[in-house]
Amino acid sequence: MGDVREMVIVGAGPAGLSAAIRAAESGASVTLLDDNSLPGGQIYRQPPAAFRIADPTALGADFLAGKELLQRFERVRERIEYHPQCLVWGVFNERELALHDNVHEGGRIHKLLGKTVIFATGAYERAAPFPGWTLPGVFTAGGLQISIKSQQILPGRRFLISGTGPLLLVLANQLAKSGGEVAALLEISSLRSAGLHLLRLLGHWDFLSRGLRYHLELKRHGIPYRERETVVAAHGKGRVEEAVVAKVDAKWRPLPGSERTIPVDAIAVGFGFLSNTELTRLAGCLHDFRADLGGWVPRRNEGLETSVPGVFAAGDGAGVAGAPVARIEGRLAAISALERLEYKVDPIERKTLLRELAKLNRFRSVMDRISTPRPGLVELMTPDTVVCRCEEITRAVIEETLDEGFQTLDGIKRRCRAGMGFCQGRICSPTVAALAARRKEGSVEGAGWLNPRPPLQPLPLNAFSTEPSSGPAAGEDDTPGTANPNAMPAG
Amino acid sequence: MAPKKYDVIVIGGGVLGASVAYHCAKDGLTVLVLEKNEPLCLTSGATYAWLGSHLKMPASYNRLNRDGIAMYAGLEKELESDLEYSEIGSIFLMRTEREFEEARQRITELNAEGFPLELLDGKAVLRREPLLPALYSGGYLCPIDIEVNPFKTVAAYLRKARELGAELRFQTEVTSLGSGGGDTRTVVAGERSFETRHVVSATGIFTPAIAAMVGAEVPMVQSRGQILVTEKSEKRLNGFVACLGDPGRGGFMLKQVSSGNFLFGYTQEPVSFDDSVTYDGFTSIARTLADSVPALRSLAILRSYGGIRPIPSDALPIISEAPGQPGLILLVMHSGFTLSVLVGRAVAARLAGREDSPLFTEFSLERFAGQQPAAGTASAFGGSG
Repeated sequence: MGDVREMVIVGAGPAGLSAAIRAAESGASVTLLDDNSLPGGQIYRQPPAAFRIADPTALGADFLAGKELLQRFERVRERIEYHPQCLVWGVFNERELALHDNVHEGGRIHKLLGKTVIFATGAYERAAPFPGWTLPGVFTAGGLQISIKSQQILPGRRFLISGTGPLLLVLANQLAKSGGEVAALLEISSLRSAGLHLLRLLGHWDFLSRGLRYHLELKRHGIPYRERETVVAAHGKGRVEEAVVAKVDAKWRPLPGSERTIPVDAIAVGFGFLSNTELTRLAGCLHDFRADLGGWVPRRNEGLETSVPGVFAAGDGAGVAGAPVARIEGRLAAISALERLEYKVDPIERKTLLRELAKLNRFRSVMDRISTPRPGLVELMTPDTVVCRCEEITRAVIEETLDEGFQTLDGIKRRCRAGMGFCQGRICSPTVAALAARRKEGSVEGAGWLNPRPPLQPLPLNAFSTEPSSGPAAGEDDTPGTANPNAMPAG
Repeated sequence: MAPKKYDVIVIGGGVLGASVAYHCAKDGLTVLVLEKNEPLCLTSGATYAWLGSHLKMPASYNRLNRDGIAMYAGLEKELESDLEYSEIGSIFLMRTEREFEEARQRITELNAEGFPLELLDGKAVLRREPLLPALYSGGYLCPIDIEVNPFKTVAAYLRKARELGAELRFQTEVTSLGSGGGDTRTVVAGERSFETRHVVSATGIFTPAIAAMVGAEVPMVQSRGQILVTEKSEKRLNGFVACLGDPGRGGFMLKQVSSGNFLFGYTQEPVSFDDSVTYDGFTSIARTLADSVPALRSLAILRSYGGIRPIPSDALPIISEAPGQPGLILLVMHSGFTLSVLVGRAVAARLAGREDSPLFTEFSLERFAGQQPAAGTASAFGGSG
């Protein structure tokens, strides 16, 4: 048996921190695991001490909201068993977590069994391959934001921002404030595409006013904002020198003849986020495909418990919905887990959280309607566009594999290696699934998912060595058995 | 219009099914392959693909494997595909003088059988594989063992089969084999019926379920193996390296595939269907490799996978007509890759009416007749003592 803990929370972003704080308030013993050095996740990412900045408002309103949460975490921190720099590389037997602890100091491999486990694993950015997207100088919007936050360095002088969603507005203003020139911000969708659903936004004045503020700020910085346009190609010798952009129709398909060229040395692309579900999948939780929530998401009951008893999922890792929803879900998951551990929880609290969630979800469904990927997105690739960056597999190779009759992500991976590399298909599999769906006129979920395989991130073999300079382990009387050599693993 | 009648329906898109489909199509037979999921989704996609010639028992099985390996020599040309075929050979490491002496004896016997095994002292081991630590008392070389890329091999068989007219249906699960009366059998799969003269089941770990459709029993013991894969590296290994035994006691197998990744393993666990990787399996393999080949410690482990070895209960291949079911052939063996060419050719020759291979007698299911179904799984698990 490994070590047993009452409640293990994976991820110290908005959902995980909220869950940890709430559980600690009830006196539960909480173990919080996070791969970063500092709490906050991606959205509340704190700059390293050496880069503390004078004007935190440059990092956006979300950062300020996160600051309050981090302060509350600091107040309960000593009651929490907090493991920063801890990578959860596998889940075995539903609630047994395999850890690589203290990653930066060589690390220790061990496992923890949670009586209850809350996965608050967040989201990652959807890749949208287009010709030239692998050139140096092409960034993801979130990746670029993180490098501004954590390193205070601009990796270019003249930027094009292309994609969909409010993150692009935030990024554009951050870039401008940090001294970058933003040639244009292209929103591939249009607010009009949400039509009457926009009425549901009435009442969400804080969000609306924030949106308005972002737009006013864009104007002040002189950043051109265009809807129904997108980057379609990047060109340059060795790195980005220019972007080709085009107008698109409602299905996000470029309109022929509308292309024009913009000289830039950096392109930030953001087509939304996908839930990080590898851990819930390894735990054996049932998942459903929800294009509007970022693909496969764990099935949960009202209390955010998955199909595996004692396993909960909260925040963007269980359906992309942003930090405000994640904070409430974290608390809701915590009180559900507390109840499972037979702590007393006031039923009013649950009701209040559910009501707040319902209100936020109305808003979120409108934004989802605007930003859910449309078919044109996978059609930007030419045959020689690389889809799987790790293994350098092009669209043409994937199409050949589909020609042979392979339809599932796992089958396609075995046949042509797409998804076999470092990232385990996190980047390419949504695109491969979309190509498969397009071929069969089927659904994206028809391609299934890539079975996550431990370790979820590369694990140094060194962390396993038991003796620093040892050789063969066997002693004189430790002869290997030879009962039946036919069971050897030959082909 | 009468429904189309196939000469052969092959069930299973793993290496044996793919090879049988190709060889039958090459012999001019009309072929339909029914795969319930997708090719490579089970054992053929999880194999270590070490085509080894001499570790089986009895001697006749070793000779079969050796012949099977030899038949791969012209396969790339025949299939017009790169299979990453390489005559890389294997070395087997000995940790102690005692192991070394035992190996010496075994090698003498195998040399007499015509296996060109060669004893190596510790220095010779290092000359061949400088990556290894200087801590092994010796080993021996088996130069005739080969490597192929299992994914490419299966895909090449299937592609060539299709070029020769075979039909392939994936995501199509066989639910009934009908009855074998007359010369036509009706196979139901994916809610459709297909008529055929012959059926070849190459369904690996699901063979007992297929056989049960016609009331036949195929006694099997299955075994799970787990394998870890490292990141890519420049070429640092010349061939297979094995140190026999359980990973908990220092046993490991190591190879570097053409993409540069190292594959290492393995476990042998009495698990029949669940091909998951376990924490204990993963960590024991990783620990053994980190301790046994320190030169690789700087590499990262990228992923792991498990596979189930389909092993008949006496560990010998089954190449057999199902009892009382003329036209229904059952194929199941652990050494599917090693024997794929040999078995594919033999089945095609029989179904095309060219030649009835003695394999069908030697490895017939009849050898189990009158036996109690195998109790337990002990007999087929070596390595853990």
